[in-house]
Amino acid sequence: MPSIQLDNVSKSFAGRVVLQPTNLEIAAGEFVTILGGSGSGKTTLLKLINRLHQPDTGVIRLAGDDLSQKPVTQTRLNMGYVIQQSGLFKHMTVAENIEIVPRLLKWSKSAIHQRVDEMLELVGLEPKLYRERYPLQLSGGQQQRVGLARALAGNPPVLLMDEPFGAVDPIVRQRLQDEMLVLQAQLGKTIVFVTHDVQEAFKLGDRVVMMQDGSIHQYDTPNEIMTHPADGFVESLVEAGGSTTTKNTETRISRLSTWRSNHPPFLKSFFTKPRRV
Amino acid sequence: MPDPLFFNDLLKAFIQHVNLTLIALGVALVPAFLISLLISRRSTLAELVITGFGLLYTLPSLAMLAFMVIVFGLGQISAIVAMVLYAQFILIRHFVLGLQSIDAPTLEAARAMGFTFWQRLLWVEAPLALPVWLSGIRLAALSTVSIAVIAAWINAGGLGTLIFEGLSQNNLPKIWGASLLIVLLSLWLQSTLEGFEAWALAKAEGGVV
Amino acid sequence: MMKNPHMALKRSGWLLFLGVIVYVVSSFYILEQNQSPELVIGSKNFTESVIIAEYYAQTLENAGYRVQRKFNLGGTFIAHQALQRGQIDLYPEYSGTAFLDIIHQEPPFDSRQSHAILDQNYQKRWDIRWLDFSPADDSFALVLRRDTVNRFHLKTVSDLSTVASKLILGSIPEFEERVDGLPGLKRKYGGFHFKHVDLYDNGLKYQVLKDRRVDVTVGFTTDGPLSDSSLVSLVDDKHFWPDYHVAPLVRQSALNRIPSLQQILNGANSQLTNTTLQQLNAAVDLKHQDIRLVVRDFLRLKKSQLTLQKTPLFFGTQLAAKQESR
Repeated sequence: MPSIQLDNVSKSFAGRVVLQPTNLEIAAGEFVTILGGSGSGKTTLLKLINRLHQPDTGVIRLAGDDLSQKPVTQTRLNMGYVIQQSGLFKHMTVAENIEIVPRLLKWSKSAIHQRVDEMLELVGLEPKLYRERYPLQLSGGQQQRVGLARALAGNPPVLLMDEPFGAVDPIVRQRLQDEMLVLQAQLGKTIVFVTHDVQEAFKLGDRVVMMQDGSIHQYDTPNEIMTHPADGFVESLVEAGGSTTTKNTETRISRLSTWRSNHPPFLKSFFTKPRRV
Repeated sequence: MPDPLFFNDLLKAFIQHVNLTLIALGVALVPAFLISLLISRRSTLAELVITGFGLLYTLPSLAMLAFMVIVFGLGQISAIVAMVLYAQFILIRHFVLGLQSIDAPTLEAARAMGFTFWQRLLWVEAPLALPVWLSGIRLAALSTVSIAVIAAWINAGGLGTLIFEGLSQNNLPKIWGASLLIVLLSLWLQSTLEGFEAWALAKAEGGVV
Repeated sequence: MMKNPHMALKRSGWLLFLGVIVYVVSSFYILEQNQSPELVIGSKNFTESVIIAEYYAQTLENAGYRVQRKFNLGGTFIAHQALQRGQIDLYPEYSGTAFLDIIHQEPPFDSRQSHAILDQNYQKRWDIRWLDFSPADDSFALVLRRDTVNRFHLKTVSDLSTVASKLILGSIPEFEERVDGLPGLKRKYGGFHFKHVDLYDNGLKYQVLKDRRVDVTVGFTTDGPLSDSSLVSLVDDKHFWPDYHVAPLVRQSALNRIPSLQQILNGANSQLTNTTLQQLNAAVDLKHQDIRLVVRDFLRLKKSQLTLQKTPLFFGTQLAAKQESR
């Protein structure tokens, strides 16, 4: 799993600075959430990583390599991308959607077929039932799951998520968050997760990036942020999250350990067996 | 009553007409498509180009044909060039519209997945834009058949020849026959392409439900 | 719109299939008929020109040659250009027209002189030959309704020139531009300032004259409708219009290629008299028969008449009786 590094990266649109010159280091295998309001620059930061935007200044590194020196397609094929509206291709079946990156990576037909089943199981959708369905026949929550399955299908070392659970109702949202934690427990991918929900950010992130007006106010573990907020902005956010923030973190830690003890790490085999035949 | 020679003429003119239309459409499709690809993501440029061709489209066909004759002389070349130019407006407009009708999340997801430009076009954009594209082709085809009738005036052949002959010689069977064939051809184009359009629409909306 | 897309696709598929079959079969059928011709015959874009050209074409076909027709090319100039450039091998032209509109000279009154001048001129400049003149002399005629003629006491073209301002002219293509048209009339006769001039197609001119939309129209002495007694042609008292004998104009290269071409065409052309042309014109313009059928029947008639001359008198009279009763 690669690390992600932003070196003095900034971005402006139409003369307006959206992202101040920023330094950010995400460790390999780390789950980092980026928290901020609208206009904070969090989405822009995310999109710089898979080069949907080009930085005005600075360098973005993946495992130490300058991304601007590599072909864009290659970078993107190795980064899963999940967005709020899922962006599923409505003219393709669920299976066909999920198959895309494996096919682009030229996997064998049998490997691809198997992979689709595995991914659907992973996100909690029974393959036989859902393979041949079309996105418009699914509920919002189901669409998000398929979106996630699609993003993970090619076994990318990096996963980028832009408010993926924003359009989903709270109950489903909770479940999806829990499943994300479970997933990360086995997969250990480098994940960058953008959200404006304080509780979500603290529940999911190993470390949290607190952003406002294009700059990072604090970047630390949830615990540290809660106990030692860097400034008034961070403080107000923590308070807004309420006691549930604390509770969420505790829940998270306990949930993870419970899960770990109950489930031997077999799912990891999905992601370590060589796929190219 | 009309004798076998008449049907012979009718058939010959019909084939000429179809050939003219086919060639004109075939030639028109490629530049229209390429131009559309270039301008679909640049809205001001797109408007400029479409308006430009729209102006061409308002030129009365006889005037356009006459102008072509000055440059290319009488005959099929002039007719085809004129028909190609007219078709551009309809084709480009629909090609661009089709591409622009794809919603933003889909487009964003497609970009982020790692497609190359052509892969994205083939796998995602084309299937979704196809219904609008096909309707553009249908309209362009019908329009081209119409213009081809006038093109007979500049010796391009086609069913228009029989109509003009019939008028000049006061020969009603010729006029009737040619007109009937033009109508049938148009109806055939309409029905056939419409069906493909409906199918493409269903596919784009999520399989054939 | 289709409710069921599967049905729509199937239907379209069948329609497409059907269309392709029709197209392919028809194309082959047409292609089969258009093998490379030995001769290309052109004509101008009015009925008589097409009739004469068709007449030449069928004559040659009956003699076993493969002919391609490029009729209705356009006006005099376009036909001449096509012949010059070799896009056609021959077309029928009128001596008067050639003098005034192509070589721009005054035609002499002697027709043998006319022929000589034209042939030499064309041969030297364009390597094109004039075959023998026809007996027919298809000249311009100014045609009016009988009531107009009576009202203004018109008999000659001079008479018309002075009263033209009270009348409307129904002109035909080329007439207002040609030297042997309205400009020439004005110069020769003076006057001829019509109330106004409307342009009509050759196929409509007599109709609009009869409908009283115009008072004078431009006809040709061999026009079919002129057999109608309610129409009168004026006499060209100042001999403004020269002879208009029709003859096949042929490229020298075609004559060289096909040695018997000259003889065949001359033979055919010699059968064209004013009466013949008028009858042929009438059959097409008035009775709306197809030109090819009219010419075909004419050729058959000519052939049987020829046979008539060769058979002994006894059979001859019987056949003659049959022909009369037709």
